[in-house]
Amino acid sequence: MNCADFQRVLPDIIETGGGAEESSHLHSCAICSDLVQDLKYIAEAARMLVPMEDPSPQVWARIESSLQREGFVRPARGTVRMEPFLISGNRRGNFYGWAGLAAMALIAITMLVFNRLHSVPAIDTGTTAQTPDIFSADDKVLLNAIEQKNHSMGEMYRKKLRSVDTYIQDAKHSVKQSPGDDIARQQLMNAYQQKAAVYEMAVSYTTR
Amino acid sequence: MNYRRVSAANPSVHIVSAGMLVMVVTVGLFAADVKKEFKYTAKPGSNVTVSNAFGGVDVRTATGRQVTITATIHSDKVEVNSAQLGNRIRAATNFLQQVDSKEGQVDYVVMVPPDCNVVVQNGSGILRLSGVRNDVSLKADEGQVELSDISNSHIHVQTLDAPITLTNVRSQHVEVLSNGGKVQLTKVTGPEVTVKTDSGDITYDGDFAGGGDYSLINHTGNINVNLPATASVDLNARSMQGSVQNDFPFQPQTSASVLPRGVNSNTYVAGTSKGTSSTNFSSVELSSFSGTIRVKKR
Repeated sequence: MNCADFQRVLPDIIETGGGAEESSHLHSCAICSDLVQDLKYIAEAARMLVPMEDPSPQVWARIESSLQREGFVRPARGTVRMEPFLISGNRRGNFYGWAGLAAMALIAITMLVFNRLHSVPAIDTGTTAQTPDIFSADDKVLLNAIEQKNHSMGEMYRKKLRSVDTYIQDAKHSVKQSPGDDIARQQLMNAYQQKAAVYEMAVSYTTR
Repeated sequence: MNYRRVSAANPSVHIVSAGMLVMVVTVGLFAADVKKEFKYTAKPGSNVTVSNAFGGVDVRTATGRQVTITATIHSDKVEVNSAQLGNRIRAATNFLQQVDSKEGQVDYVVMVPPDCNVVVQNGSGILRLSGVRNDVSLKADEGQVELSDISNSHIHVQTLDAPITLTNVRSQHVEVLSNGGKVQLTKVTGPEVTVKTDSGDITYDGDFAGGGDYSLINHTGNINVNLPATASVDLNARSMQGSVQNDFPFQPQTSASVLPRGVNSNTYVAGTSKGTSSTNFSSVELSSFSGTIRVKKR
């Protein structure tokens, strides 16, 4: 069994532990062993994303100062406590907040797994040079892998990533202007979910 | 005796030769098309999964307990593998070498008992599914997705750039996530119906029945809703940078007290249509970033 065979049945291995053949490969291959360790860690961490109760005030304070640094909110005046834009006091707001964090975590997890599976050197596609370099390092890894497989699909994903990045920027701007606006937050959540969906489809495409 | 002399003497030789040539070419063209059929007996609630890259996938319901997967392969550079493991039945296209979309095309027709769960992952091509009464999960990059006559199920559809059509769907939960394609919903009802796109238009034609939560959200596309006069909905429509056009007889509920904190009331009202029609029944939320929202009376 080689690494490709092993990674093809990876979900079953994570779920059931795998058979003797998989176990043998796991012991002999450091890359696959690390990958399984990471996935198990992610699975454990994902369970902890489910909120059992509201985090402590210190957590809000840290998020608040982080948002102030990023310029999303202005510093609070006097003793008035400013709520973070992602997580409001009401239940619906909490849902959006956690959904947002979960979407961002999903993107991070997807990219971690993707980087493991596709640790290829960056290639110059020619197209990149013609268009402004607006993509993040993670985006570039993703696009390189797709373009290596199919150039036209790479173009499509490039277009989609641009589109969702524009959406995220638009929605962030609205939230910045109206931090208490539920609809603006909902739009931002949808924007992040769209990006997570593009990543998910891209990873699925490259491993097909 | 040579050929030229015979053919000159007998013109029918030319006709026979041409006919044979046509036959050879025809056989050559169709020889690459190979049909593979897989049959399994499925228990209620079994999962049927099809994974394809290029080509159509057509899922229909069958009577009895048999799942039949028919794959038409158009070149010898691809193969189709299928297996049953417990209550899981799976068919997948595998490439034997580098292929383009024509060489890699495989068309599936899948017949399933209505109580089976269906999972399809397709690259490009038309993905059709009808008649299923259990959970459905469909993913497609491009092409087209068409679902019809589905009830009592959980439906999850995700596409990158494929138009999605849902017709006559009465389900527990409908979730559609599309990046670029248009989404058309006709007579789609359920306790929870969610459609989210980036640039794709969303069109809903129906009565939002069932007392459910309906949520249609996009970025730049338009949202069009066609409602019958008898619809019972609590509707909230808002386009942040676009406009809302409403010709449905709602009783306005908008007041300063319902505005979110920090939102200028004039701006909010200008892009918002919030009201109740008939008795409060289903909750409908229409949200676009810069598209136009139109609510029309049928």
